[in-house]
Amino acid sequence: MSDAPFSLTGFDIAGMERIQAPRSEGRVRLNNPATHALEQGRSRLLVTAALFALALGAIGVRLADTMVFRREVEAPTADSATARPAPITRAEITDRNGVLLATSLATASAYADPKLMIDVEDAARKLVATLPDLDYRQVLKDLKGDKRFVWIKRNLTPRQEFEVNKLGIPGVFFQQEEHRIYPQGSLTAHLIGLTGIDNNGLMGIEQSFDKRLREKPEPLRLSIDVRLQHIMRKEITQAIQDFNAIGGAGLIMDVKTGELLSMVSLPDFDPQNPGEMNDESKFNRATLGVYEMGSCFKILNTAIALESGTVKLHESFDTSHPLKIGRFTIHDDEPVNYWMDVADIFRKSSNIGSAKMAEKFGIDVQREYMGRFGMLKAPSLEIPEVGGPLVPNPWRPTTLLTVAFGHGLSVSPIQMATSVAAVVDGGIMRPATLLKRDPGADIPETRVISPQTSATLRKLMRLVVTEGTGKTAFGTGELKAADTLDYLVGGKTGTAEKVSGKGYARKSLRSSFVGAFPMTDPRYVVFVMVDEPHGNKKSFGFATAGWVAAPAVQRIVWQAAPLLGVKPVVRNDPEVLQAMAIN
Amino acid sequence: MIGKSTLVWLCLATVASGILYHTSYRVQEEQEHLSSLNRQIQQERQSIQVLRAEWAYLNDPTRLERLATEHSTLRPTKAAQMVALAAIPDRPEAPAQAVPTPAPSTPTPAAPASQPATKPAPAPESTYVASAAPARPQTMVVALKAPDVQTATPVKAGGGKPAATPKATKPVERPADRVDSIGALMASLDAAPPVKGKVTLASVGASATAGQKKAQPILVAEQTLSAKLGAAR
Repeated sequence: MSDAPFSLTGFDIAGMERIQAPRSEGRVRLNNPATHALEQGRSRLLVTAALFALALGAIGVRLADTMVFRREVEAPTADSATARPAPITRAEITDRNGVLLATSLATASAYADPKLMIDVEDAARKLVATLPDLDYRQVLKDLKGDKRFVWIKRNLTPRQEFEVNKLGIPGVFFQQEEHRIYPQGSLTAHLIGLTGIDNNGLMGIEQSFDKRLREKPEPLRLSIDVRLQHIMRKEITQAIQDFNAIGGAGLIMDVKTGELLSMVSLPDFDPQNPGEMNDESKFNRATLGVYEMGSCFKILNTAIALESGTVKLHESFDTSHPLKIGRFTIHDDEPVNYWMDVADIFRKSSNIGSAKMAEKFGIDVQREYMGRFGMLKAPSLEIPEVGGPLVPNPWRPTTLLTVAFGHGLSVSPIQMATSVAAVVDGGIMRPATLLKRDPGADIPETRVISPQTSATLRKLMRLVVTEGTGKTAFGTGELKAADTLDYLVGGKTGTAEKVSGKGYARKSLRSSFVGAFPMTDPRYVVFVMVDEPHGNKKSFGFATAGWVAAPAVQRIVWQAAPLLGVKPVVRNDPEVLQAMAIN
Repeated sequence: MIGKSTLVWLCLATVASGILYHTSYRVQEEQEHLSSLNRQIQQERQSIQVLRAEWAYLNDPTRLERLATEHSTLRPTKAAQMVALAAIPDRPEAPAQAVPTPAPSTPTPAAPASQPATKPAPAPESTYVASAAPARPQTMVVALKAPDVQTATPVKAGGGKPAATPKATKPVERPADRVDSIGALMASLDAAPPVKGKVTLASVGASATAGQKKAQPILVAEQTLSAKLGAAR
């Protein structure tokens, strides 16, 4: 026993007593042979105690270490258990200014386990009363089946969820789901595409970026501008209505970056109501459809002729007689009985003249340049619906002549706009994109024609608008006055006859206009195509591009330019006139 | 017999266990609080998401355009409505002199049916800032001309009451000087007789011009013009 002051047990565990009072005389003295054995036992005990002390000490040190010193390093288990990150949602898609084009909302879907239901018929009746778009017989059939999991209705509104919950039917449960919402409706239908009921992308951006949208939470920013998209869609709709057409397509492209600011294909569909979609409305005319572009190709034809050096700008061609080759006869819409130079051929859109220019440079040059302009292979674009061109094979002498005025080689509007962007912007070609490019990002560039040829083509395209086939759309009305402010649009009309059977249908047309503005330093390319327009009173029965597509482009540019920050200039300003003069 | 030391140890143990339990309950409480906060954050996030979708839906350009046509007389800016800064005459030396007429004298034509309004949407990229130095003659200044009385569709008054046409209201007495700042324009707004229905900049402009048949820029980009006026003084 011990009387040590802080001994809990009364025993001298630590042996303090012994240290304090050195043992001179043991209290108990054994004077027998067992003494030695006892001493030995005591020393063994000491060793064991030391070992235990060491082990306990180590545990103590470790405890202090984990609890006191390593506090931050240890995982905050309580926090991680509750502060779960939000359930993985499909990323948003926005336009270039951050306007939402597609987003995901959490919704509840009701399902049932019929085995837990007390009265199946009563439950079905109550459910149908609450969710009127359900069919009673169908619900009852589902509930009476053998399955233990039956969807009642997916993606309920919060109100419906509350109502169903209030019914208090045992066996009805909710599952949190995600529902894709397209706030802009059909405005970007072909572009964004849509998702299926399980949120998997089925079309457009939703399909091609399916993985990206699932994995990264940051919104996907497109190059599209909703405002321009709206203007484009509105004006093409207007043209389709006015001319009783069957469809149309339109593009606005930033010349300097290749970004598509607008891409419209009509008729379109409501991505929120995919049930109403049909083959016609599903078809993307802007990217998937390939068409003979008609006279719009004369931009490329003239560029090839000038760039290859085989034709000089002031060279004249005999356009007074139709050109016969094989079973074809090439003739002009407005025949003239004199020789025309390149500018006149371009301005009046002479097929004969264009074909004669093509004759001078020949098949090989034409094919090579068409390849450079990206007309011989499918363009790269970020949606799956991209059509490849219909390239003539073999490339006959007839093909040479027809391609000169845009027949015999079918390309998509995307290809047309991209190549025209290259022609007007100093001859540098950039691939089209639907994603917003970061400022300063590396844009792949290829030179297709020289800056000189590009400058000439700009002047020729302006000439079409001031004095040529586009003049009706851009030169009349309130714009007549000499000091009128103008966005200096330049472009080319194109009216192609649609293929029907083995030949061309004279009355079934496709009118298009491809233009750029401002022509002094082009920044945007606008393309509009109207499928099968019919002449009306206002157009004096004409359904050609100058009456159908060009006015639409004019309306689009006049509304879009202020949004794009393009300043109007006085049309007859001497500086402008000089810059656009053909010399 | 229990010694003094025993008592002390027992006390210590009781206190320690008390502190331990207290801490443990606190932690539980905080955990519950934390998870409820997390749930709340989750809910708020969802509502934000819903509201953003709603906002985008309500900002649908087609809808905005319809509303703009119905409720305001503002139309898309036309090229003819823009004036080069050089074309705006300097303020005359004598302040009592007549109002200088702006250069392009073509009155705003009646808006053709084929040109309905564009959406006045949030426009972060639209760059109509007339901010270049006044010395540059080519600079454009946005000058919103007051629409003609004929084109100014009357602002609809609610409840089937006859709409207050700009003609019906008295023409506002315009100050001798041209209204050259937003502030001055606002002041003239206050001075105007109350117009039934919504008062918009355009409708005030229309009533202002009702008296003087000629269309004039009533609102000129503030900074550049006052800079120009300042330079003229």
